[in-house]
Amino acid sequence: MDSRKSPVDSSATFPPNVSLPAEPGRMNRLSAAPGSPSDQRSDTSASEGRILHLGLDWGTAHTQMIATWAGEMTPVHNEIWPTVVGYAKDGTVENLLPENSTVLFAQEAVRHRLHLNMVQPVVNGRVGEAKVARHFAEYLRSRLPRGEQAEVRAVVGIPCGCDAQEREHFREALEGLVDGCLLIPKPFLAAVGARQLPPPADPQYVDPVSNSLIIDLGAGATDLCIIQGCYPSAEEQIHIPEGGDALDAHLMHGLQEAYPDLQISPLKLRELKEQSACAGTPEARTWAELFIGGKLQRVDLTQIVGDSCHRFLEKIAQSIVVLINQADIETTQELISNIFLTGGGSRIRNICRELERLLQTKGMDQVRVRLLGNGTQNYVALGALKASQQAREKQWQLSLK
Amino acid sequence: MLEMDLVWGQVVSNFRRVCLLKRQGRLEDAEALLAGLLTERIAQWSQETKQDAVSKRQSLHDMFVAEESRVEEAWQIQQIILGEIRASVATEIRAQIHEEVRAAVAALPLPAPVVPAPPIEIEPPIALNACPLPEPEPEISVSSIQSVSDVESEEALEAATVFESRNTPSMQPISPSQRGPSADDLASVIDFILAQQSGARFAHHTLAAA
Repeated sequence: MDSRKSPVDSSATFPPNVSLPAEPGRMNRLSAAPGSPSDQRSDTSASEGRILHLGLDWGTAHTQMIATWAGEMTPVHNEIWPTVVGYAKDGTVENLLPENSTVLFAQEAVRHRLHLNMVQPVVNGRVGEAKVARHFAEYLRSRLPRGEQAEVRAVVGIPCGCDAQEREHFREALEGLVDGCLLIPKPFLAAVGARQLPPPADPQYVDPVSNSLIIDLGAGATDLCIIQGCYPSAEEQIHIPEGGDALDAHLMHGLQEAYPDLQISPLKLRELKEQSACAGTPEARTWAELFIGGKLQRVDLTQIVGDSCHRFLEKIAQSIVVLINQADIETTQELISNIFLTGGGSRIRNICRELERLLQTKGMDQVRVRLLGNGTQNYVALGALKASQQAREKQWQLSLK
Repeated sequence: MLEMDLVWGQVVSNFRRVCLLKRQGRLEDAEALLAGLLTERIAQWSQETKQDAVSKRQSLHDMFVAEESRVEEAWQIQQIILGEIRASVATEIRAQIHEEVRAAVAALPLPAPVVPAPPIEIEPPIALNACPLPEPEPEISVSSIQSVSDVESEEALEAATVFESRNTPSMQPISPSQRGPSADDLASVIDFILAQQSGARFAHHTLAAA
């Protein structure tokens, strides 16, 4: 993780008391108002006739959902889950899974993965199998306050450049579960989410929507976009259908080439990547204990992980150059000093410095790459919530109940 | 069987009407129809049909998807055609006014050639006050008429747009190379994104059809 302090002070981000839960998948009780519907899920009286605004970042690896009641600032719900659905394997012994379930979601699915076929509802940022996405959407809805009369309006972060059909798949998954939805590209939402209004007095603060390049490094896709005060044109947004999962694939390929008898599950590989991913030259060599030909062996991952990260960052650097070259020359100098990273991929150690180095080799001087906000929050869901709160009545795209 | 077809036809047409009403922003009317007549017809159809529960649900779902998509496409096409009609009608009206003005100007007698007058010694202002000059006739020129006709047609256009935007969400397709509104104004940004998506949707369907 990049250790430099971001100029954006996290303590003042909107809503001020929203923070990610310490442990993924657990309710963020600190951020929920006392006695709020998220604490009393069966309480319908509080929610009758009210509008519940949702900010939803439905990612390939993780999904975050923040909710507030209309006219209120305090989130009643803020949760993050692994985006996965587990279907019970055929012939699973009775009572092995909780309540004999045939489908489990998120952390619970991960916990019982041995007996489940694990399926990702979202692949490369897009809806994968419709049925699986629908099941996951139903799970998301079940996590919200249960008020039959409450009208739920969701803004969903989607990758840049989703076509009409891909957007339709998101809407279909949510159809009947929310009363209105809007789909907005993720990097723009991230910038809106990290924005502090009113701006803090800190002279180092950079408003991420004034003149910045935002890069959302997701698990399934990477989105880049220039924001110069207004919503960007299509040419100012780039979608790379590769993200952290491509690192996993590259890592697996490299390991299997070096160790043909390697036995490792995709989940274990992801854990390995999250622990060891480091851009550039690491301070120390990276070792892991892996089963090779049935024996536990200590393996040096430094080279393989380094190559995977370099390959990934090189693609991003090339896309940055394309976007910067398109920008107005008057704005370029400021733009290259305001490159912000967000999303799970931004947790790769030393990523900011390595990206700066790569851009310098491509002729960019005084380039500065930073983490968006405090670098620990996912700002897409926050931005989506802000958009939901400000959307006009007639803008909501209706789904049929 | 015939009666069954009739009931199903009513289910379809009522649902289509619900979609249209929602698209027009008439949410209360849509809700009333949805909760009233449509629910009754679906219940009637459900009781009379011989399909099992799964098939019934599937039939309804398929119909919902098909009708929703049909209404959405029709709506998008209507928006585009409306835009084109407005543009072409405005151009025609403008051309017609230009033609009439040209004809009127041509029918006027040619003005006498202007000869520079010899310098005149101007009387003291008091004499002017005693005999006020007549107000000059406003000059008629093609350019001034053009600007008037522009204003009139633009006003008409603007009025039409305002009427439409009050009744329906603004969904005119937007070029992808166009930047959107200020990031401060999220509601306008959403309008812009919806317009972009509507253009892309139409392009997508057109390409698919082609």
